[in-house]
Amino acid sequence: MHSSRRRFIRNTLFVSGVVLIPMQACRRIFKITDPPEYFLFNTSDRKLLEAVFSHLFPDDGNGPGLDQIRPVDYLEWVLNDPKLERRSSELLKKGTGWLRQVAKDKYNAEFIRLGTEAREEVLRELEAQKKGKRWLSKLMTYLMEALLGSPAYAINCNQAGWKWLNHSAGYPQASLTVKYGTYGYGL
Amino acid sequence: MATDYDVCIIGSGAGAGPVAYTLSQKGYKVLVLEKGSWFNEGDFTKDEIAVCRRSTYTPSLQDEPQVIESRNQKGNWEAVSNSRSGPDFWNGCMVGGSSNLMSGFFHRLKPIDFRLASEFGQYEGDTSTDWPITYDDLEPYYTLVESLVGISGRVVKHAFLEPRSTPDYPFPPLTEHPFAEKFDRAATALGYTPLPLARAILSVPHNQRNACSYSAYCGSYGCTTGAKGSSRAALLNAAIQTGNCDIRSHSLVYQLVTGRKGRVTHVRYFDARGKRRNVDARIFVVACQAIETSRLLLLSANSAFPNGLANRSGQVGKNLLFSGGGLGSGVFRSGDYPADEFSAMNDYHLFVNRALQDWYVIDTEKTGRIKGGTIDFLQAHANPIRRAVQVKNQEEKLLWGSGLKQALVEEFRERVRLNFEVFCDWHPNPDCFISLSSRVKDLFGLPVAQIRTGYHPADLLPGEFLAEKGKELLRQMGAQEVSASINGSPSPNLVAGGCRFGKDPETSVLDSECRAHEVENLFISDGSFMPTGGSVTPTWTVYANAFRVADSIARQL
Ligand SMILES: Cc1cc2nc3c(=O)[nH]c(=O)nc-3n(C[C@H](O)[C@H](O)[C@H](O)COP(=O)(O)OP(=O)(O)OC[C@H]3O[C@@H](n4cnc5c(N)ncnc54)[C@H](O)[C@@H]3O)c2cc1C
Ligand code: SF4
Repeated sequence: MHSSRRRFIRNTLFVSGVVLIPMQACRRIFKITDPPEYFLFNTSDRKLLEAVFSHLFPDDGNGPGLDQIRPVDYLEWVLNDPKLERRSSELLKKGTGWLRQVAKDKYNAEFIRLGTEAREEVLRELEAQKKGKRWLSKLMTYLMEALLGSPAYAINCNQAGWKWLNHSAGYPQASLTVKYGTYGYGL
Repeated sequence: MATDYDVCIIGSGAGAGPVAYTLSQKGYKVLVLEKGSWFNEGDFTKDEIAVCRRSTYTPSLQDEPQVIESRNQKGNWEAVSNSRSGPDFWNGCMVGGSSNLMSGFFHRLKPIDFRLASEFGQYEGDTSTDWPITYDDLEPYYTLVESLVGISGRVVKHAFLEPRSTPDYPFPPLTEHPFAEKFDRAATALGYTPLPLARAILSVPHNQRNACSYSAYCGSYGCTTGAKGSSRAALLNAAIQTGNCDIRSHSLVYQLVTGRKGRVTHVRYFDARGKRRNVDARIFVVACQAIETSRLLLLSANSAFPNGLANRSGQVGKNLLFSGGGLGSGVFRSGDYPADEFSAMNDYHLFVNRALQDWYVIDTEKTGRIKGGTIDFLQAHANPIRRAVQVKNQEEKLLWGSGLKQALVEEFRERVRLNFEVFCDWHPNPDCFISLSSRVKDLFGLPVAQIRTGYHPADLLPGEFLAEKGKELLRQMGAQEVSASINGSPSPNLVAGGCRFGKDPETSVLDSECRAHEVENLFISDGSFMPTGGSVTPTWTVYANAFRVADSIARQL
């Protein structure tokens, strides 16, 4: 456990040399040069999650786009947290499988191939299952964190979420060196 | 016999700071052992993810869980480790404890709070007792807290105003939110007395501490100006400056060891590297906050005290208290106000700081004469993630898609919420106590605290009465969607009792000086001593009593 904790801290610390919140570029929290074990989603999971998020938070001209919120990258960071409870991490990982199953049972197709209405039906059907609702609710909670959390986590890029909702953030904000995982109890 | 220190204090929060401050000022050598880290003003950020949505200032529940006992649907008690689910009762583990994170809504108890049982009688299944001291014994210390911790406000005469030895607070009120004026008008129209709410926040600079910067992220967050009256900013920094007080952070005490005479000789603790260490002193003071204080005494069982230190009476952990009452809120919509007025209302930086105490005692035909309480009015904390998560949780279905986005825009730009919190007594009862878990251990191999959280049904009546008054006030102010919820849920951040003080060693753990009846050099100076908690937030009283305990320790040294 301790080595993974160190790995998590190292990664949260050394994303870049600068200390300020990155306002300009919206970079991924894990870089392509990082060890492969950080990247928990394969291409197909990533595409599926992107499709789910674009249904939950569609690009309808109101508010920031998913490229600024970056919920899939954020989810990967969440899953890399060694303090994440096992139940949550299992739930997050299993959900994609349940979704694939419902899409297959209902339409005999992959979720990403479905149109908007069919996606809505599949997600609502998944929501009707207790475990499916727990998964979707968790996904949406992390989506809200990525929309309105500090850009130091490579989310809410350029404070797009805060600006959209006229929210004035507190000061000082998290920085790349002072944020969750870099300080706190036991560290 | 020479000891390392005159006094060793375990914990560093509101119960500890006054003891460290007073005794180090008097020239005694004091050591404070604190399990958490040591942060200063420059270390705090307003990062909702780290502060409110993860365990950053508190232990991870995987490493240091607690077991919560609540009633299941059949009415039986069910014990579940909070590493699996349930509320987190850790509040802030760092130098200064959770006082770093409090909102600082401060009230004194009133004389009647010291004699709840004799004034109002005991209900069946209610174990409340009168305090062994009176309000007058504590008044000088309440006043001391106003100047040393730093309380700002304005005294207004009213039927239940507690007697004061000074006319007003030493610091002027903080700058007020436009809601305050609306509140005053509404309360006056209803015939109630609008009360300015005192805060443990400096409105002007004082003693190397800056004034409040109105950061909008106050409760749950560390203060970056030093204005908040945390034990660290207000007292421990000054204690260190005497040269007589050492603070060791990352020092988790797991046992108080007694010698042949039944006195505590030394404590055992884990240091930052997890190494076991000892330290001795002449007097030991425990202030780990109610739950962990009782747990430490129970963990310190030995052959002389087989049921736990100072626990021959079986009272350690019993009569645990939370804050009775609940919450309410109302909504103000943008369309109902001119744009600039609404924009000022939709600002989180200033403080509403209002309260009602017209019903500290309720006497109506329906209720009879019962103890009432306090209603504090405040804006919800700024935390945008929490607000957005509430928006997506609809009653039946999750809200998503364009509907969610529109609802978020409305919530943040077109609606402002004004909340109230009701405080009334939590009657101590046999179903609210701490024990050691027989199954769950923490990462150090120590049994964790098991917390049974039962409330007394009589607590609901005053809560519901006060909630109706709170709702009436909000409606008078023009609020819509007014609602309230009063229930018997425990308040994890407002906790006291467990080692109550009293005259009778059979029914209390501490004597009236907060010294253990059974162990002459052991004191408890956090809120554990309280036999009843009053109908207000507790921390002013915790601070005041800890100053009183410090004077008593000085007399013994
Ligand atoms: C978000 C929040 C808002 C609040 N708002 C208000 C408010 O508006 N008004 C009000 O009156 N009160 C408020 N409170 C409550 C207030 O903070 C507490 O009542 C007060 O801090 C209690 O003081 P204490 O000394 O008992 O505990 P704490 O201040 O929590 O200090 C206890 C310390 O003991 C340490 N400790 C525990 N076990 C051990 C061990 N075994 N070894 C070494 N150290 C140990 C802990 O790490 C901690 O630092 C609030 C609390 C929170 C969390
Ligand atoms: S500056 Fe003021 S508002 Fe901000 S945390 Fe400190 S006391 Fe609270």
